[in-house]
Order: sequence, then C-alpha cells, then structure tokens
Amino acid sequence: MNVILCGVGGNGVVLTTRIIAEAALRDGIKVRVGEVHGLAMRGGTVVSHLRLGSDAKGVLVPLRKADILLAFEPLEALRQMRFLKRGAKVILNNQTYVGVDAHLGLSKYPEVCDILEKIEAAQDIVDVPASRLAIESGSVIMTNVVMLGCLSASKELPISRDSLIDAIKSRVPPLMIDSNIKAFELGEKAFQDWEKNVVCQA
Amino acid sequence: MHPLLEDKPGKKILVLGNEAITRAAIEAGVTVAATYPGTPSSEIGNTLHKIAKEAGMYFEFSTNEKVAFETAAAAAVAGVRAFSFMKHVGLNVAADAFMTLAYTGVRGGFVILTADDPGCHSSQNEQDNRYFAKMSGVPMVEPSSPEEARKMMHYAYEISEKFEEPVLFRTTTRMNHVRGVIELGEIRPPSERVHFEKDPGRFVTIPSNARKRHLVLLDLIPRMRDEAEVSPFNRVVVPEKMNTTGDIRLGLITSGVSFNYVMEVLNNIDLGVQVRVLKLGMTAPLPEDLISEFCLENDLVLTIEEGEAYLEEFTKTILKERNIPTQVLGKRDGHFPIPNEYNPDIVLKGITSALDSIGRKVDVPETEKVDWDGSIPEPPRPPVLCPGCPHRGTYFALKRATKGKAVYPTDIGCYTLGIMPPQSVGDVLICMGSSAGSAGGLSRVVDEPVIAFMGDSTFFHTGIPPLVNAVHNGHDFVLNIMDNSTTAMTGHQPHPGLPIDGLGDPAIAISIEKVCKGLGVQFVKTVNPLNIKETQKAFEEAMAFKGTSVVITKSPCALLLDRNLRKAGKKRVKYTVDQEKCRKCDVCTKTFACPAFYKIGDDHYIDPDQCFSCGVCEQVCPFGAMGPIPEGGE
Repeated sequence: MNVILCGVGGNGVVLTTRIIAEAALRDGIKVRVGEVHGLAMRGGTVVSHLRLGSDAKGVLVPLRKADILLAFEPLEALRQMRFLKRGAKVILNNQTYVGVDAHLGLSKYPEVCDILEKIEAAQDIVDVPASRLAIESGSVIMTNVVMLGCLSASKELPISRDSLIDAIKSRVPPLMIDSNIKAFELGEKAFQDWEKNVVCQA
Repeated sequence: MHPLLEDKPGKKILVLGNEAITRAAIEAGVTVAATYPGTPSSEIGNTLHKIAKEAGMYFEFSTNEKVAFETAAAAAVAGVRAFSFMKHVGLNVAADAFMTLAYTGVRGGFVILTADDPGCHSSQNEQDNRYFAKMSGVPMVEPSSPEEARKMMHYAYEISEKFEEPVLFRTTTRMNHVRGVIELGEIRPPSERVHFEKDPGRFVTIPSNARKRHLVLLDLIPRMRDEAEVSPFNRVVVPEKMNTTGDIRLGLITSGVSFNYVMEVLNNIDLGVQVRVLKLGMTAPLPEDLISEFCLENDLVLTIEEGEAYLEEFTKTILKERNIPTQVLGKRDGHFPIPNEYNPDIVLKGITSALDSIGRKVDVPETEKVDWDGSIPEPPRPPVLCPGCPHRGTYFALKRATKGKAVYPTDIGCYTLGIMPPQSVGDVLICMGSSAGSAGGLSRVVDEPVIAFMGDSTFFHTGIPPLVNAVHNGHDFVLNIMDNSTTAMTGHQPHPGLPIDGLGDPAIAISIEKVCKGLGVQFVKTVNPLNIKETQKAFEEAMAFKGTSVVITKSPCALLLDRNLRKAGKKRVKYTVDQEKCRKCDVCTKTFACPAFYKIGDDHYIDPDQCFSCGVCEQVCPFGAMGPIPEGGE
C-alpha cells in the first residue's frame, strides 16, 4: 500500500508520516518512508511518501500507484494527483494556505470548489474542516491529529486504531495527550458525519 | 535513554537513514566525530549533539568541513576510530585535506560521509562525489537502505583499518531521508586515550615523503580492488519474479538508491527478457573481474545510476580492455538522464528505451490512468522567510537606505530567500562564504554601491578570510552580517558565536563584532533589525563610509525565539490591523510581505496563528493601522 502525505511547511506532514510509520511497525507491518527536509520548513510545499507491506521498497511512490492521499491543504492536494490510482482515497483538510506569491499578485490561488470538483471526478474524496476541528480541540497545531483520526475511521489503512493512538501518545508531551485524543476523536467523527452525508445524498 | 543508545542487540527500531548511520557510528566505537551542518547530512550532527556525551564520544560542530575533517582525521592518525560527515559541497571545502590524507592513510578507522543531493533539494549543485574516491584513491561504499547503511558503516571501519586508509561513505538525499527499520547491533565502547606513535616519514607530507606515500597508495589500490571483488556488498541479485523464458539475458548494474528503483520496476513489470542485477555496494575501487564476468554472462548490460556516468564509463573501459563484446548502454547513449534524482518511472523509461534501441518492445501494462489533465493551474509555492524573521526587517530597512540602487552579493543560509519578491535582494551567489569575496571584485568594477549578506555561521565557516582580504586591499563595500544566533537553515545547530559546544557543554562565545574590529574593519556597527529606523540609519552610515564596513544585524531566529518562549510557557502579543485607520495602500503586503498578512477583498488582516510578534509591521504601516492587539481585545 502506498500513502502520500502533503501540505505546507509547518503543517506537520513529516511528523504525521512518522506517527503512521511507527504505528505500522507496532502492528508488525513492513514500512518505508521518504521525506523531504531542509527548505521545506519555510512555508514551502512538503511531501512524504509512506510505503507499507510488500510496497515497502524504494522511497518514492511511482506515478499512479498511491492508494491514499492525506492532504493538509487543497492546492497541495492538487499537486499530487498524478501519483494517485483511479479511485484512490483522498482525505483533504479544506483550509487553504494562500502564499505570499498570491498576496503579491504574482500568482493566483485556484478556486477551492474547482479543486474539489476536479479531484472528485477521479477520486474518492473526503473533505474535512480539520484545522477548524483542531482549534476546537485546543490548538490548530493538532490539525494533523484530526486528519489521523479521519484516516483511521476510513478503515483504509491496515493499521489498528490502538497502534495509531499509542504512536501519537509517544510523540506528544504528557500534558497534551488528552487534547490530542480529543482531536483524534473529532477527526473520526468528521469522517462518520461525512459518510452519513454521502448516504443521505445518495 | 535515547533509543539510539539502547544496548539491546537484535531490537528492531524505525529510524531515519541518518539515524541508522549515527547508531552505527556508536556501535562501531567511534571516539571522535566532527561535522559542519549541511542538508541532507544534518540530522547526524543534530542527533550526536544530543547523545554523543552519553555515548562517551567526542563530538563537535567544527567551524567548517575542512576543520571537521582535520579534527577527525588526526584522531584516526593517532589510532582511534573517527567519523566526519558533511554534505557533498562540504567535501569541496575539505578536499585539500582529503586528497593528501589518502597518501598518509590512518591508523584507526576513519569514515568520511558525503551526502550528495541529486535534484538539488537543498543545495547549489548536484555534483557526484563518487569522483572524489576515484581522484583520491580511497575506497568507497554506497548503501541502499537504513539497515544496509548500518551494516556498511561497520564494514567501512573494517576495511579502513585493514588498508589503513580513510573510507568514503557516499549517500544521497533519498538514503539520508528515508525512514526504515534497523536491527540494533552490539555497541563497542569508544577508545581510551592512546599514546601517539611518531612516524614523520609517513605523516609529514614534505615532498620527499609524499612521493613515497603516493607509491604506497598506488600499491594499495589493487589490494583494495581485490577486496571489492569479494565484498559481501557487491553481489548478483535475481529478481523475485524472474522471467526464465526470455531469449535475451539482460544485466543491470546499479548502486545506492537506484537499486531500489530497479527492483521495484522488476517486481512490477515483466520485461520479457531474463534479468539479473549486479548490486554494487563497494564502488571504489570498482571490481573489474566481477563486472567483466557479469557482462560476459549477459547479452546486454545497462548501467543505472543517478548523477554522472561513473559505473558506465568504468564498465565500458574494462570491457574494451578485455575485448568483451557485450553491449553496455547508459547515459552516454541517451537512455538515462544525468541531472535530477531518479524514481521508478525514470528507471522504467530508461530500460524500455534501451531495449527498444536493440529492437525489443517492452509490453508495459497500461496502468490505470487517471484523467488528470492539469487544467487547473498549480501555482508553485516557493519557500519564503518565516513570519517574524529578523532578515525581513533587515532587508526592508536596507532597501530604504539604498533606494534600490545597489548590487547585492548574497550567501548560503535562510537569508538567501531574500531573492524572492518583494525583497528581491541577492544578485550573485556561488558557495559558502563567497559573498564577501564577490563583493571585493564587484566593488572594483560596478557603478553602484555593493552590499554583501552573510549569516553568522557562514561568517565563521569561510567568511573571515575574504573579510581580511577586503580590509587589507581596501575594498569599498558594506558587509551585512545577519546574526540570528544559530545555524538556522540546517536545523538550529550552535556555532562558535554561541556559548554552547557540540557536546552541549558551556563554551566560549566568540564575538563577531570584536572579530571584525580585530581584523581592522574601521566601521563596525551592531543594530537590531526589528528596529527599522535604527537599521536604516546604520546602513546609510556604512554606505557613506569609504572602505570596508560591517553592519551586524543581530536578532534571534524567530522559530528559535518562539520555541523558547513556548518552553517557558510565555504567550506573545499578537498584532492586528485597525480597519478604521487602514487606508488599503498595500504598502504592508507589497513591500514587507509578512506571510501572516492576508487580504479579504481590499481589507488587510494579520493571521494571529502565524504572527510571531516581531512588531516590524507597526513600523512599516504609514498610517499607524498595525499594532499589538490591545489587552482583552479580540
């Protein structure tokens, strides 16, 4: 299984990838991760490739081989589409991060509804207000944990909920554990709400 | 206890490639380690900074790679195991020492890690440092995975001690920054103090000794080649899904991360031919017999390697010398690219292109195509200076002083991002420490003032000699030393200007201002770049000064400051826009452009989650509309 995580520097893409990888290891699943470090922390694009089970070979996912995209930002999600299989699961935080370039008028941020529509045409997309839910659970810093909760509830990963929770606990300060669990649960609920919604519409 | 220090052989842990290498250095009993931080090797130093003391290892962040190399090399000459690691361009800085150490050799094992960066993820070039091994004559190894890297470090120390030569350990970004599982090995304790056995005929490289030592090295190379012939890291791999019926025997010679991409392709696609892979882990000296025999057993051989045609040129030469008719294809024939990093798709494309050239069409299964037409533009998101970054204040004040009329040689660090609009400062950049040297030359020929930028860590790295040069030769320019009290770009490592050393112990902090004055700079002024007026005035005075002048803009890195405040449990005052006072003139977004600013329609706002409270916006706004959120407000 191939998972791509993407976002903007400061979103916690690298840390989130690491949490999933550690959870996989706890469940005895073979894992390999490719990360990009360095300049990435200055508000630039950040991508990591997570490979599980028999796909855990090279660090980079080949084009059109990713099963899941966990995207922390809509424009960044768009950038990764060429890596996805048809019908791949896309879990998207719908909070945009418009860069300095766009503020200066050097580039134009695409309309979010256009992005969503485009992704929806080929992929199985779940969009969640992860940043807002993170603020609800205490701080926008936990956006990644909301996303993890959502990913866990989607049952797309062959990794147990307990292992994900344990991996999160091992990565956050003791005082922050409760609010992180809350963020995780809000993520789970967001996925369930979304599912219900889809059923209603259908 | 840090997980990399656990004495639990057999335990499996998930680590970054760089952490696997760090663990191996501890297992191998490395006694002295030294580096200058550089991505993609930085995490090795960051980790040793935390754990070396507990491991009983001496570790330092040296002023530059050459000093790091000399520090570690001397320990190995004395007889203990030593380790020096750097990014690829760092080896250029250390090359003077590296080339001659190959002549003297070492008595304790010495491994030099070079972290190459195909694709320039965080570098100014993508040079292929395998040629350093060829040029110097030292043996080289190249791992493909974290666990192989761990094992290969042990092997590198063994062969270093067997041949009494340093060993080059060559990685690439995707090796350093892969995360995978390693199995912990036994830890050998670091050495106690040793007695230095004098041997000046070997270790003092006056010409008469150097000539003799060169002969020793040349005699060693065939013996090291014999090692490569039987090295457990040079082996033939048969793919899991081997096609046994194909009428053509295809051999693939590869090394490093390219090996992973090759195996991935072979696992996914039946090329319709019989395939074997020669996976080379010890790549200098290259095993002539092994490569020849492998080529003899195949009808067509492809060399698959990122970077230059290193394996390809060697293979073609040997086959020619030995009159082996097997056809070898690679970069020189246009099937594989030289620039950028590889991935499974590029490797597959190269293989099919090569097979196609001999009349074999590969049936590549039509993978599920996504209707991805790129119809929505994807504007790039270039990295920018962080909110609250003191460099933004420096550049803003400077541009007011120069009124845009100046030439700006810049240097390597976060402040290089000043080239992005709206700052748009940075006209020439070659390498670490080059800004002051470039400024000297420019100041002799251009018709505008010359202002050079240099970070604090870069100043200590290679910035002092060009400043000495400028003062002595009377070059007329302003050197702006941007002191944010850390090596920020590579992850906040300490440097000689800070009161802490590599082991985390208290250290003498060297004052940049005093160094400049000591070097004879007649105009030295230190200002706070978060104070725009004061900074602008300092630049105006420095530009009016005839001769070399230095303006030190000193304010800590915003990320570091924020982290320290959070640790101390302190909250920061956030800034906001008073909508009644704002005249929507856009001066803030168009000239200062803090990433915390955003607009809805024509209205300006500051994102409180991004505001680092530097307070510069308050000085930038011509109408006093920006300021701290009043207590109890919003």
